[in-house]
Formats: sequence, C-alpha cells, structure tokens
Amino acid sequence: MNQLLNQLKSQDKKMWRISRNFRLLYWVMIPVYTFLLVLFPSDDVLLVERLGGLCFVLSFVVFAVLFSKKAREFKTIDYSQPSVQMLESAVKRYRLWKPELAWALFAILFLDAGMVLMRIPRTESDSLLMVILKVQYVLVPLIAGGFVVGIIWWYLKHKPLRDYALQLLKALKE
Amino acid sequence: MINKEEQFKQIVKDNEERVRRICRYYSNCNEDSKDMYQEILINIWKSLDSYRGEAAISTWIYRIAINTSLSMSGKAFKQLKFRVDMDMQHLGSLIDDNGVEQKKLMEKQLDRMQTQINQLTIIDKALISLMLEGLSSKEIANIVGLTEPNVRVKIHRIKESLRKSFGSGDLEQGQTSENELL
Repeated sequence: MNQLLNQLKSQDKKMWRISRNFRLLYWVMIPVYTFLLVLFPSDDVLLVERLGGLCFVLSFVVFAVLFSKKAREFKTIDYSQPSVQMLESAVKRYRLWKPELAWALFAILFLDAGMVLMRIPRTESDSLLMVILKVQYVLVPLIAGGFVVGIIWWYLKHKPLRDYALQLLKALKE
Repeated sequence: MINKEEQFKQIVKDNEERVRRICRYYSNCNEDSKDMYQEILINIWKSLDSYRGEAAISTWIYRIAINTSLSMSGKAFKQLKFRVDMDMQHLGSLIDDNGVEQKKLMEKQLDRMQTQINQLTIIDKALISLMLEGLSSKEIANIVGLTEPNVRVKIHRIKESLRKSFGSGDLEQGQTSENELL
C-alpha cells in the first residue's frame, strides 16, 4: 500500500511539474516573442514584418491554450461519474473532429500569414502571389503530413476506444 | 483538516473488502484480481479530488470499481471471468443445510451458473455483480446512470436469459433448485 501511495504521489508530482513547466514556457515565450518579433525597437524592422511577428505570436497563443486545455481534459478523467456519463465523455473525448481542431486550423492560418508577411520584404523580385505560393509549397505538405499522421494516430489509438465506449453505451441503453 | 493521503488510506481501509469482492467477480486468478484491485485504487486516488460527498461513499466506490472494469480494453474484457464464490453471502446459504449429495449437486449447479454468467456481456456482468452485492435497483441505477425501471428491466432480462440457459441444460434433477438460484 505504501509503495503504491508513493508511486501515486510521485506521478501526481510529475504531472504537476509537467503542467507547471508548460504553463511557464508559454507565459515566458509569449512575451519574449512579442518583444522580439513585434515590439523590438529598431528602424530596420518593417511594419509588415511586425505584423508577421504578431501572427506568429497569435498562433503560438492559440496552440498554447489548446495544448493546456487538452492536458487538463486528460488529467481530469473522472471515474466516479455514473458509467453512462463516463462513457459519453469518452465518446466525446476520442472523436475525430473536435471544435479544438477548428481553432488549430485558425492557428495554422495565422502561422501561414506570418510566414508570408515575414517573407515579403526579403523577396523583392517576387510578386505577392509568388510569395504566397512559395510559402504554401512548404507549409501545405507539412500540414497535410501532420493531418495524415494525426488521423492514423487517431485510427489506431483513439478510434478503438471510442468504438468500444459506443458499444458499451449501446449495450447499457438498449 | 484531513489530507489526501490520510483520506485515501481511510477509504481503502473501510472499503477494502468491498473492492476486493468486486475484483474477484471479474478475475479468475489471483494475479488478475490484484492488478484490478491496484487499478481501482489508482482511480480512487485520481478521483479523490472531485469527491464532494454528494453520493454515499459505497456508491462512489462501486462507480469507480465498475467504471475501472469498463475502461479496460475490449480484448482484455473478453478474457475477464466472472467468479461466483461458493462462500458468497447470497449463494452460500443454499448449500448450508443439505447433505453431501445435495452439496455436490449445488456445487455442480453453481459451477454451471458461473459458466452461464461468463457468457454474459460485460455490461450484464457488471449489473449482476452489483446485484450480487445486494444493492437495490435504485442504487444500481445511481451507479451506472440509468433509470431505475431501465435497470429493473435489464436485470429481469438477464435473469430470464440465465433461466433459459439453465432450462436447456441436462441437469433435470436440479432444475428447480437452479431456477430458485435466479
């Protein structure tokens, strides 16, 4: 019993440390990036670059909030709820499309816009359309790759759990 | 002010037998039973922060125990066995007053009963385990999150299905007693 208690306490401590470090990281990084990319006092930095920096920071904020929400959601799985409620939460937690994904897409759009805006002053010979296309040439395969990996991950790890929870719910309710 | 560790120890101390009994329902060997017991303790620890005393502690413990068993993977579930111990409160009394032959017959019937219960779905097993714990339909409904009439209908269906399975068996002599078990 004491051994188990020690393990549980150390796990709690570890979770608390990870969550604290993560919060610390984004609360430090956000102002730092805001200063370096948006507010840095220099005449060499153009307004368009500052706007690009702002887009990066906004994207960073959205991702930080999303990850922190996700970590909290998985940490607070409550086994003391009635079974039906617990299973319904599991179905919701393990579905493929979640509202958070829309926010993630929003953050990616900010990232995309940031990359385009930061690139404009450095590519004088290219038209705006060319700059946008060049950024998409790099970003789109990366995002598409990320989505494919995410879907495969969901299919292998989360879909079976969701299917199982649905199956149990059906058996309980029928 | 009692801290989390002391509260946990107290809950485990007060409910150890209850949790071990639930584990024994599902595990056919000591090792599995120990693993499940440990898993339930972990989930009690994790859920302790959210315990506000709204439900009776026994209901709270049963919820965690049942939900822990439901959370295991589908594959592991199929391997879970439902054990009906010979000395269980609600079944043991059936053996007490009879002679050796009658006891042997009862043992055989209990063995068949265990086999039949093992054929049930995991949800039915969960409901039966709570019923064998002596809980009322209302308490079971509170644990699983269904309405009381719904629980009653489900338990009735399970009993019917077990009765049918027993009825189609070849132990004609013990059929009446078997049905009495249900």
